[in-house]
Amino acid sequence: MIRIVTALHAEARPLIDHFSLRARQGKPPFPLFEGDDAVLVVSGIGRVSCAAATGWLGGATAPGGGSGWLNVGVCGHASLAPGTCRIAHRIEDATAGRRWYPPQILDNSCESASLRTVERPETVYPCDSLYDMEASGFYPSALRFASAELVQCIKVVSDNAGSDPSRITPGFVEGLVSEVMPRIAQFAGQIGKLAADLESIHADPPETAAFLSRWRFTVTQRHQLLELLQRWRALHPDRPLDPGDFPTRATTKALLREMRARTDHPPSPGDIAG
Amino acid sequence: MTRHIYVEREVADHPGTLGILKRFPRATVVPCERYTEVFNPRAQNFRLQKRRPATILAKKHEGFVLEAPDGYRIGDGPGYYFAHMLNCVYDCRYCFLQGMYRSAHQVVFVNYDDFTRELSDTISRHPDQPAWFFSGYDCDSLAWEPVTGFVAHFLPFFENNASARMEIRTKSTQVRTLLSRPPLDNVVVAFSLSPEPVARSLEHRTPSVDARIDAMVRVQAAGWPTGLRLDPLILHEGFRENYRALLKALFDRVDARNLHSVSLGPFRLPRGYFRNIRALYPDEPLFAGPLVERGGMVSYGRDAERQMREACLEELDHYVSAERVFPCTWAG
Repeated sequence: MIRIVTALHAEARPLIDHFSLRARQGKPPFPLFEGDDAVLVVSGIGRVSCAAATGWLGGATAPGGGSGWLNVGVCGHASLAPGTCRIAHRIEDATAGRRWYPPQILDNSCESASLRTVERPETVYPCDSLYDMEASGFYPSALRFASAELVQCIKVVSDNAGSDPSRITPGFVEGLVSEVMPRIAQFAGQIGKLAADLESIHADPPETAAFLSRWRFTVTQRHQLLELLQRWRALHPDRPLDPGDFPTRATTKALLREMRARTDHPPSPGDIAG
Repeated sequence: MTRHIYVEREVADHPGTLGILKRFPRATVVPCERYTEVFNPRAQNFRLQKRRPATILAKKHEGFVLEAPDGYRIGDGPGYYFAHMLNCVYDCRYCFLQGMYRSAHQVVFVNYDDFTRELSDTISRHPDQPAWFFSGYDCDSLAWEPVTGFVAHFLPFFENNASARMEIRTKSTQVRTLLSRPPLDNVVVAFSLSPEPVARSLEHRTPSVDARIDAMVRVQAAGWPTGLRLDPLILHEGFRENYRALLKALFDRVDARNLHSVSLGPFRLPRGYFRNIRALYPDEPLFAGPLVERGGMVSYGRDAERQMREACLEELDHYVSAERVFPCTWAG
């Protein structure tokens, strides 16, 4: 699952089509589009709106520990041609001076660049950076919900020092994002896969539900059960614990004691003595 | 290899930085103010980053030479460690670095001259006793030698400070620099070895045990004092047989009489680091096994440790005299 934040509907439309997203009905505070593999929120322009929408999306879609986050949008650059696609390896908030460095651990063909988030549209481009108005709002908000490796920004250059600002229309923006959609989709897929891998590592063992339905656990005992099941699974991945192996009438305390005894069983001293 | 290299602005023009960047002409260079803003933030996942760690080139400002922790020394006398790198190119599952750092990026401190200055100061504080300096604590001393030139830089220093001793601890086979120059009596090249089944399951991305032994043979043949490090000892089925086979394979080729020292210690981790690592690797059998907490450390129980240590000492006794064997005695 990937959670996507865009500033504009024009940036969102190619993504909505690609991921077959449907608009959530009712009156959500931000336009929200949902599908099986992705959810997308349209934040509006600016870092404050983007931070608010990102935070709201995190709460509204109850992300697990392994969710991926992607900010997609257009940006400016002094010299890069419109349509150039870049992943942000450094995000700098021009107003507050704060900086973030999204770890680049994925293998893909898209180059990376520094990204500077500004309050107003940039026309001078004093640094060799991409310029946008949202990333520094998105990034720290999304980090509340996921590890830094799973929070990324991918931007498409819409304007540079030599371009005419009047040609940046919704249709133009939609066209730019559409053109690089295969790259965005590939990157989103990689982040989603990474998030899914992480989630599966930390998921409760499948047999947890069977134990929980057969015995009644306090909150502390439930934590102990999960830890024991996880340890057992690590030690014996092909031989999951079966609730049927334990007497149904055993107290929860006795059950956990027996599970711990089985899990703690070390290699026999004979193995050490040789 | 490394695709992104973060460079602190302060060392952007440092010769060490330029030398390393030259080795990675296709890497993307990302400027940063301090390495800590890349390396230290929360919400990083060491396990994920280990898939493709970046390199950070930085300047170290303080704490160049630190006192060695208990159980890391060889014999008596003052012991210190210094680290030109944070993190290791290898991925040993038992390594404490996974629990100590939030990031798996490799930090290289390029201001080697500041290290040698503080090494000199430390040496001068021990005029009557030779001090040991361990270089393989926060990283592998040799694994990235072709990139960092660490050994090439520090060997001349220890050549000129013969009263001090340095241990180069490694699992690597990067011994070319050592073989290309005369050996030094006060520099010990210590190879960390584990039985092949342990190495295969826990020491990811390391050279094979055979390749390490081969490197050790060449280093010893070149006249360098060599050491053997059996640390950590990992409890597993067939423990004694596997260590017996390892020592036989080693001493079939390495001259035990010329071995400088052997040290050994059981697997142990500070409690906080252990918790961090187990959270990263809940699927790792090593951390799911029978471990106990005592004295702020997580380790095997006392009985298991004693049995492992005794088994190894008995096997070592066939090859190495007891005065050259240093079992780790941490206060647990």
